[in-house]
Amino acid sequence: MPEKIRILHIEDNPLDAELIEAQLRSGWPDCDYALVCSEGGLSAALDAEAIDVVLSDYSMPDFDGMSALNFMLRHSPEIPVIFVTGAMGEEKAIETLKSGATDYILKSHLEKLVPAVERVLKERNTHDVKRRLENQLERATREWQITFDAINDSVALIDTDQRIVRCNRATVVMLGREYADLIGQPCWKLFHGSDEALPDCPMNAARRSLHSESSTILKDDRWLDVTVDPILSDSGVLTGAVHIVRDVSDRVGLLNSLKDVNDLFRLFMKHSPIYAFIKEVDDTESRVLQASDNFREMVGIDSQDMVGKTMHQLFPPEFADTITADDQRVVATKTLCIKEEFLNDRSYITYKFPIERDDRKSILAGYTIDITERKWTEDELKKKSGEIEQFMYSVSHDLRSPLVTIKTFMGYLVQDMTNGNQEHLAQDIDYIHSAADKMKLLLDELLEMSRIGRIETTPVRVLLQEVLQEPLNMLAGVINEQQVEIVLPESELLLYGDLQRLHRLWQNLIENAIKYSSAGTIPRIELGARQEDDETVFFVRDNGIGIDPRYLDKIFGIFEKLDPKSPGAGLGLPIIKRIVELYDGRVWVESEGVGKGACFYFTLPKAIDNDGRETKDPDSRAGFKL
Amino acid sequence: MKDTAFTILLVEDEPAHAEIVRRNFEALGIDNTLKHVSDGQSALDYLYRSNGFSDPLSSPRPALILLDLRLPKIDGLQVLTIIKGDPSLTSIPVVVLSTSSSERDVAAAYANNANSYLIKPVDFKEFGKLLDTLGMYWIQWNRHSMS
Repeated sequence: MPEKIRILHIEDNPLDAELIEAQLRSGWPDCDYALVCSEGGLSAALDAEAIDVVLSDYSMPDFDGMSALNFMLRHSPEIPVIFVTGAMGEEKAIETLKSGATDYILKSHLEKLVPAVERVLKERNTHDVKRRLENQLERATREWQITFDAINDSVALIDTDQRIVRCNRATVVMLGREYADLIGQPCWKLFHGSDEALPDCPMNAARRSLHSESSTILKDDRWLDVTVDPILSDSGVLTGAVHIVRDVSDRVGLLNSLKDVNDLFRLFMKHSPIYAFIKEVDDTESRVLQASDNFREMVGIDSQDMVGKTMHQLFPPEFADTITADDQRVVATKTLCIKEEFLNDRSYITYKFPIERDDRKSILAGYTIDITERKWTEDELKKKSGEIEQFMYSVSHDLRSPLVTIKTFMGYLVQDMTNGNQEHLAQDIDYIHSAADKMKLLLDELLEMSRIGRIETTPVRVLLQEVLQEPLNMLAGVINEQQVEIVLPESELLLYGDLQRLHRLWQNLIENAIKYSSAGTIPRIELGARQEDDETVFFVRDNGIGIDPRYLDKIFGIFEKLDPKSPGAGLGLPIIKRIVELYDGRVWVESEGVGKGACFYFTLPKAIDNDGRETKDPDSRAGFKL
Repeated sequence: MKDTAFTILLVEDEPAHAEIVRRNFEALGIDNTLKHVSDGQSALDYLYRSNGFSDPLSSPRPALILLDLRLPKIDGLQVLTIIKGDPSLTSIPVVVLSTSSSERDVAAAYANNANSYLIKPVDFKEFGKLLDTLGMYWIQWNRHSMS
């Protein structure tokens, strides 16, 4: 027994009370004994100190036993109540026990009181421990549930079949169902309204990885972040998982509804600067489901009108055959297809990939990028590097040739000096001279050619007739000497470009015409421009030696000379070609044959306005600035 | 020289280089058999006896052709292709004599059935040695077909 026992006695008869106290003190001489006879007394006594056991008379005039018992059960149900009464039928006794009394003793058998109290106290002791444990457990459970319920995200414990074992309040609120209705239901049904497990449920990944997995799932216009943390047994076997769902719709912001997602996707497709498309493919055709607006440029019809159209309704037959076959291969083999395509003089690169869905339809999506400009640049670059290579080759060859001459005739010079061969000596020196002159000329012309492409002065607007003045002044000496007749154009044509280049262009052509004039004929050179279709063609016509039609193509090549004895290093015409190309133009020559004169033609699109006529408004020609 | 009845056709646009060949062959005593033309068209005219080369006495069929590659009017390589593509001319040995050491030229010449490819040395003695050996080999030692 623990220290002092404390007994509270409810009794209206002082004599009986005395007897009973004496009886108690026979068992516990120093027990605390208190006597009350009313509900007020009882209540005050219970509040005053801890009571181990309550003894109560059954029939009292003011405060009867049943009232006392009821009060006790309400107020302190843990304290045992023993009825000690004078008379009580068996029926009554059983009723009191049923009502919550612990025991009853008849006043005629008070010797049973101490053992009864002893028994009650012992029982109560065992009871206490159990109750305390139960209380603690209950409190812990309550605290856990409070914590669990305080979490804003839905947290549920699921078993390996993904059925809810337990869940928090947020889950109940999120799903809008009774707690009891949730337990035992699979997560896919409750959260996603699906009849089977979702393929993108993170539980699938967690089963494999045995680690926490997440994914974002759209459900009823809400974006849900679903995280599954697997629960493993000590041996590492998956026994269940914590299924956490967080509504992140507000964070996703704009995309808070399926409609928004649809709209965005549609706008993305519509405005894509890269051709974008989605197609449905079957064994015979490939049809447009969606296409970006810019397809209008390619196929000439609006994107909304493309929907449902087959490739054969949109493209030329051969092209349609090819892309339909490609589309069928993409969906059949489920592989990415990257292919260059060529349609209506434009080059494209297309990326197509299958979109796999549960339904049986074969869908693919893709992009087409217009690479015409890029390809053109690449080709130009290739052409240019080829030209540079050819140029380097020609230069090294043509520089080597005079060097061979110089070195060899230097040898002869020494030999002939030793032998005193006077006749050869003069010849040796002549060869060396002319080879050195040739090298100088070559280097000068190379420099000129390089300068023409490299150095550019501010473009100016100038009349054709003014352009011609400078070259004619430069060549005035030879023109007078050979009495060359120059015919100038009457055109009022206005040119726009680098004055030095324009001067050089005309100067080389006039020089060329004079150089190849026929002996015994007064050279006549006609300079002009004429309108042909939608371009202005310039020309320099002479009555000189002409060109064998067989060699017309060859003469614009670097270092090409039809007559090895003619002066110059063979760069006069290549320089002309270079300048013309800088203005996006073409140059060609026509001649009916040897002795029939020649006419050089060229165009300069970038140095002239579209229709070839003078325009008053300078801004209208801004596009032709070089 | 044991035999100077051979005609050598030199196709060379650079007068100085033609002079070098002439002087070397003169030293070897074979200069009177050297015929010089200075562009591709003239070479073909000579071989086909047209345009001023119609007299077989002054323009005899050569036993050897020395051919430069960079030529006015018709390119050396084109001339080579025509010679080697014509059954009546193909047996004439063609020795390319060029300043170019470019592999592209060498390969193209052999692809067109050149018999030999020689690079003009930038050295007096070397050039002399090359021409001596050339003359010795092709004129003295090499057996030519008469057809």
